[in-house]
Amino acid sequence: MTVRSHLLAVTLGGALGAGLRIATVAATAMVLPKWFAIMALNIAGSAAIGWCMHAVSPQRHTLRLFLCTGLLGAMTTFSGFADALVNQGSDHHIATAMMNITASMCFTVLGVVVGRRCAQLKDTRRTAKSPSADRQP
Amino acid sequence: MLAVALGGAAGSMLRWAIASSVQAYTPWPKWTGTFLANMLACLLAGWLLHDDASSPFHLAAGVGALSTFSTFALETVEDWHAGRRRTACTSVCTSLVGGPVLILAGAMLA
Repeated sequence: MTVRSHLLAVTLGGALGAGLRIATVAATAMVLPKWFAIMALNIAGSAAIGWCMHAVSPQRHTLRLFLCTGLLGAMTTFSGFADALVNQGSDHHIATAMMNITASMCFTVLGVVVGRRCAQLKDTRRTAKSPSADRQP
Repeated sequence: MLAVALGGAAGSMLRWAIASSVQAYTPWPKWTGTFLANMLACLLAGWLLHDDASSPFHLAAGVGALSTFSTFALETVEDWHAGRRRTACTSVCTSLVGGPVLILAGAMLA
């Protein structure tokens, strides 16, 4: 039963995440280059996974699988990023490729850190506002 | 849209299976599971999606979902914070070199 629910969580999350990615890239195709849309999704997904890994407790493993492994894992893509680099290299857009690598790496890592920090701050505020904290001498 | 969802579900399941198997059956560090899934996705992307304009959506969704950037970034941060800085740098460097190389290798296979 547990394995089945884990499988279902990853499957549903993956289906939603991939759909969200394809829809976002298609919807922004007229105004943004594809690599930029992929980079934005990767940064947003990394910030969200940083938040989720702190906000969702390890005891809620199925929810973590749905959100982190399924939804955010499928919403972000490494192969799309690498494919964009190859295309930029073959088109001799070396400066754009360098910018893509630098921005993707820096902002996704930063996204994870900021996402986690936001979840920690929210946790701290909730603890400070809780009635049990008010009763402290 | 159903084809995209099916592709995404299949890609995610395969990624999860690879990452779980690496953790369960090998002494390799955690990041290698995500790394292997990402590299396999790059090879498949170069092989199956080399003609971007005519790539079917379900293949793009499946191959895209097999790879992940968020977990890659998360594991890099976790390794760095845990003091495994060489591991974090190895993961980033091998992924940044291996991804494009395997896309090209896949395109040559096509």
